[in-house]
Amino acid sequence: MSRVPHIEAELIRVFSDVSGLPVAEFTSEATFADQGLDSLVLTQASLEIERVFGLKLRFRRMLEDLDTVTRLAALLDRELPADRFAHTPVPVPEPLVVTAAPAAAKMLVREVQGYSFVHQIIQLQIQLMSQQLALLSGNPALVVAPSASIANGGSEPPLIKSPLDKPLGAVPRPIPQSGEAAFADSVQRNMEPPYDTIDRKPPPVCYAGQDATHDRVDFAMPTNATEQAIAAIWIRLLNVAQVGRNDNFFNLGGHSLLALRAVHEIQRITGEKIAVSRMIFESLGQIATSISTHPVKAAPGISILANEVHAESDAASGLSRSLAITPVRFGQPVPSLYGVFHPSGLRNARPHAVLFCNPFGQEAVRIHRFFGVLAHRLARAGVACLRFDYHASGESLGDDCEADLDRWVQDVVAADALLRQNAGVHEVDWVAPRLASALAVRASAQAPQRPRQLVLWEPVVSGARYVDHLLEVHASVVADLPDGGVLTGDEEILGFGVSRRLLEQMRAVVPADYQLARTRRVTLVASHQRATDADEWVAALQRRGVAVQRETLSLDFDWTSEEAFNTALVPTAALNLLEAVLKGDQLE
Amino acid sequence: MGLVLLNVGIIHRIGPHRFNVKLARALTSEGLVTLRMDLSGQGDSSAPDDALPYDQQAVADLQEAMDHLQRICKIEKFAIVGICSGAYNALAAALADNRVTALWMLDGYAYPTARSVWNRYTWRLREASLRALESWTRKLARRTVRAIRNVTNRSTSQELWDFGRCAPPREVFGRDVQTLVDRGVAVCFVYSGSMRWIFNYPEQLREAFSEFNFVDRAKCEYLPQADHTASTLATQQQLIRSIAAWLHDALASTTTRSNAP
Repeated sequence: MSRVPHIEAELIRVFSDVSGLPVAEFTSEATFADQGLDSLVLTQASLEIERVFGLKLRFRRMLEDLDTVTRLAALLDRELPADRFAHTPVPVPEPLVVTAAPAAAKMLVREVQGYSFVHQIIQLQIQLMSQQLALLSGNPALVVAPSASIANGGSEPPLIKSPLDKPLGAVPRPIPQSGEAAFADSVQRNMEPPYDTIDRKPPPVCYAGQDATHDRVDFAMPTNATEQAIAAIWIRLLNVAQVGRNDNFFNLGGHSLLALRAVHEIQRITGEKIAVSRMIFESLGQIATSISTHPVKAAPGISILANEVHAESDAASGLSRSLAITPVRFGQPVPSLYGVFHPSGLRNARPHAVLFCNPFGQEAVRIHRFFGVLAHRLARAGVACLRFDYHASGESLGDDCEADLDRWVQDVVAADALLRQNAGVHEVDWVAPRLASALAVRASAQAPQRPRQLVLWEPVVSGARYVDHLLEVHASVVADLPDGGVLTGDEEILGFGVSRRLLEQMRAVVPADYQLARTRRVTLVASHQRATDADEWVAALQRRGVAVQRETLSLDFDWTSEEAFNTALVPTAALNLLEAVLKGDQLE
Repeated sequence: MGLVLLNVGIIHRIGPHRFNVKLARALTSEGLVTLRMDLSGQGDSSAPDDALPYDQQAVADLQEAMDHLQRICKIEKFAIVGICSGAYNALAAALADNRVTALWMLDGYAYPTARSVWNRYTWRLREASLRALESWTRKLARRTVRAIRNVTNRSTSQELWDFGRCAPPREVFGRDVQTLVDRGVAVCFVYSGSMRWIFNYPEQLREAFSEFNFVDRAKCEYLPQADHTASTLATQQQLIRSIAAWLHDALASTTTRSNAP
């Protein structure tokens, strides 16, 4: 039996989950465009397809040659290993069937097998009936919690999960042996909109230092019912304690899937559907301004949500509302380097400052927004900051191919000196993600004054492996270019020219380099595996008397991506962690 | 004339792969004043308290940029170069402000024709092999008829979209461009190969808007090997050369009109 129908069913489930549209509304043969799926949804879908099927797919193909479920399924049928989605009977929970199901249901379950979409619907309904019978019989067992739609008696087909894959939605949970109450509890716990089951909500995350409402630049409380209503939605989705009218959804840690939910919620409450892209570019206040709140259809929803956000007057706190950033030119003999200085608030100036060191190439473009948000938050907390571009990168002078790691090390030293001068501090922490980590440890050995702390975020310890990775990503991008793209023949990586010398310098980075770090403390921020790889040089640092603090952070953050939507632009976990690490006056 | 370069999507003012920097410096070396900017809420720009919705604020920001250049450089005519979302914003600003006399857009709004739809389907056939031909044969008639009907109807509700942004109805777009051209604005449309499923042959703009005479006065280029964000040095260099040449012609044309008796 062909596995294509099952693949199609699984694809429809994926698209339903990411778009929020009911499964029944999807057609296998209509194009995604015709079904109202925009590139944002398709980007999310491509990620989910990769997770479920193991096939990496650029979302644009779903606008091009793979623009229907049928075509996608055909591709997957060709590409997937033969044993994936192979026709095997779906295992039926024996205790459920044996102990509770009447004979007729038991017989029917064993007859209905296979991966046909209709068969699975029937099977799920039979399981639900069996559960109910089990409870009535006073002998509950391990049950699969039904989907919200069935529990509610709704008409939507349930989410279908392949037993061979991780479920996207509700996860089967064992219920205690206490009959109806336990079943009701299970239903209640699983009775969430499909997308809510993706994020298990931890306690709200407060911004570090969020005891004051003015820790964020230009923070202002929502001022009208519409703003308050939208703020309430964002608070729930972003799991933050507070949202101001000048806040941007993505800067608060949002990503495209959450943005989709927010758009749906805003439409539900206000009656207005806004473009998802506005969540990227606009503040809460801008969005609220454009929403026409018709009293008849919007008032009830808005008033309820508005009550959840208490409007407070923006009491003067002694801090200036706006801490203007200052562009700076520096460097010797010609001020060829460009930077952005974030002064601290005068009344709460901390005795240390933070220098942001960029990673390489596209990774620097990717991290720009994150660094900007983090710098603003630190500045509001009294920590002056400097972000800058190395020679031949970003805004600084020099063509791409003039980039040189030896010079970049000198640029770090120069930036550190500038920051000390501008901020009037004697202690500076350096934040150095990826390749910047290698630069920072070298610069720390050369700087007239050592940095107080080096925050090394996913450091590149094997330059050879790093360059190979970049070239692999580059080759993948080039392969996807229209008609194979056009290349000059010069060395380049992801649209940035690179010289052979630079590549050699990058390949020369080795773990032993990190043993030379000259600082009081190294804070290593990395996933568990990467942190383990650093054991040797961490131990060497500790033997030299350098304190090492490890912070485990596993992020789904694509450092080289150009896409706006496939990863969070400003991952909240990283933002909060780094802020906490960098804000302290005293190193613990 | 001064040149304003704005954000491409969410990328800050340096542009994708530093393209805005490379373009600006190339043009500056030829004597053109350029300004690269972050729109409100993007890059290092914050949003004002009374910020307008994004589309409107972008126009206001571009006008402020022109005001700034006008003050410090005594420039009164401007060109705007926009890519993707930048193209949309650039078009809106040009419509709103008579100081814009030249407009260059990469992968802005695009409108299909029967031929572009046919190209799309035949590409699929060439690339998908015989296996696809079976399914294609079964479904082609239905889809092609529907597609051609949609195109030939040229319904005002027909829209294309990207990242949630809907293209204006075809007639509206046509009238807008005609307005600009009639005003004397030099307009250049460039479409990359990334758009090929929507825009895929050089004459497409002319055929899609044949009832408007701007098709004879605006420039349109189709660069099938270029991509949406100029991901290779070759594409970047090609685009820079193209923009420089076009601006040179636009500036000469503006000067000629200014000097005309």
